Amino acid sequence: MIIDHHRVNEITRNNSKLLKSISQLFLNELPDMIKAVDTAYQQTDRQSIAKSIHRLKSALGNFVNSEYYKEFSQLEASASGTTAPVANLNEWLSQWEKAKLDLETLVIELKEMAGI
Amino acid sequence: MDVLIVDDDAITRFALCAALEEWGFIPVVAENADQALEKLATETTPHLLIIDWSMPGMSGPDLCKHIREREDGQFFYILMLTGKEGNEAIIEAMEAGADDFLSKPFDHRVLKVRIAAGSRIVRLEQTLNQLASRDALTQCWNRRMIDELFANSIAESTRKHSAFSLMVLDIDHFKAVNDTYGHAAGDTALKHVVNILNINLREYDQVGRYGGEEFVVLLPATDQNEAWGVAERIRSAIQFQPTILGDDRKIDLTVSIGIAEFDRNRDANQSAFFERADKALYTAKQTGRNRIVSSN
Repeated sequence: MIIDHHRVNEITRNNSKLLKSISQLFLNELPDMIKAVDTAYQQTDRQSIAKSIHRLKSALGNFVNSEYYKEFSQLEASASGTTAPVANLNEWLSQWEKAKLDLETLVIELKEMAGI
Repeated sequence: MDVLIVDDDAITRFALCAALEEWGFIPVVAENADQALEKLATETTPHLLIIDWSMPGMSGPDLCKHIREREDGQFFYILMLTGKEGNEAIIEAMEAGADDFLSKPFDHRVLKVRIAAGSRIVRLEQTLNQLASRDALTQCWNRRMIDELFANSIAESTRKHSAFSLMVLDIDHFKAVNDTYGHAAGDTALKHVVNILNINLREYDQVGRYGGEEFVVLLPATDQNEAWGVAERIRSAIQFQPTILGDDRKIDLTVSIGIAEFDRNRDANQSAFFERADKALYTAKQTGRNRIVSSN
């Protein structure tokens, strides 16, 4: 389970309309946020990768459990080269591909929770 | 109380807006620092701010520094939100001017109490500001504040090449009011005069108590002829609306008024301009009181 039900309920205060709206907003924004990461990777621009991951992480913070959030913190840090040893971008890409698969799971979980 | 949310992430903005509304605040949103600065330039600017650290363009810490460099003396309570962790981030945010710091993802209950603490500080600051700038008896501006507004009005008039007039008003024979009716009645009379001034002035005019029974009125975008009309309205209102005391006694009052229009070529500074209006008041007193005299 990637979604943090307790957190989402706390943010939406069990208001189903609010839950639907915020979930829909996230689902609408998600493809562009993923695309921004992929584009930055294709340009091999580590700072842009880190920035676009940071933006995605910021949005995810409203929905996901802390383990999954930490994965994104890791992705951001390794993209920006602030971890030692600095991960090469191929290693980074495999982490990102895994995270993207989990994002698909998150989408399913979120749709189910919000009744979309 | 309005709360400005500055965050480039639409989902976080949405979640914060919903939470703030539920907690009784009015959210105002900005997607980046430039939009935030526009909102902060308005007269109804929010004073409680939630700023995200990482944003395209100007970052949260840089926005904080920018806000703290303002010279208008306004207080802003800034809560910085960030996905960054650790003491270094806290130090950097606080050194940039943030008052509080919260790491993402944050617990909404923690945000709620932090915002409540921030709003208490903003209210306290507003109360202190009110106490420091208002005359305790009449609630019009005190001398320090009206002097500051006076300087701002001169600067605005110079910048916009617009007219600006000044009115100096003194209650006639006020000592006799205190001696005859007592100081409590004198206080009631002062409040009554300020009430008449407020009723007869426009929203953007400013009234300040300059001394015991002397008041200064700033009239932006007003030439000397228009100022005369305003002054006459006030003079006659005060003459024909006596102060009513609790025991149904009445105190008849009159005022003398000196007026002057700011003249960039003539008034070297604020003091010189004030002196012209004050001299006109002196003439009004010398020539019989209950009258208006314009500075030549």
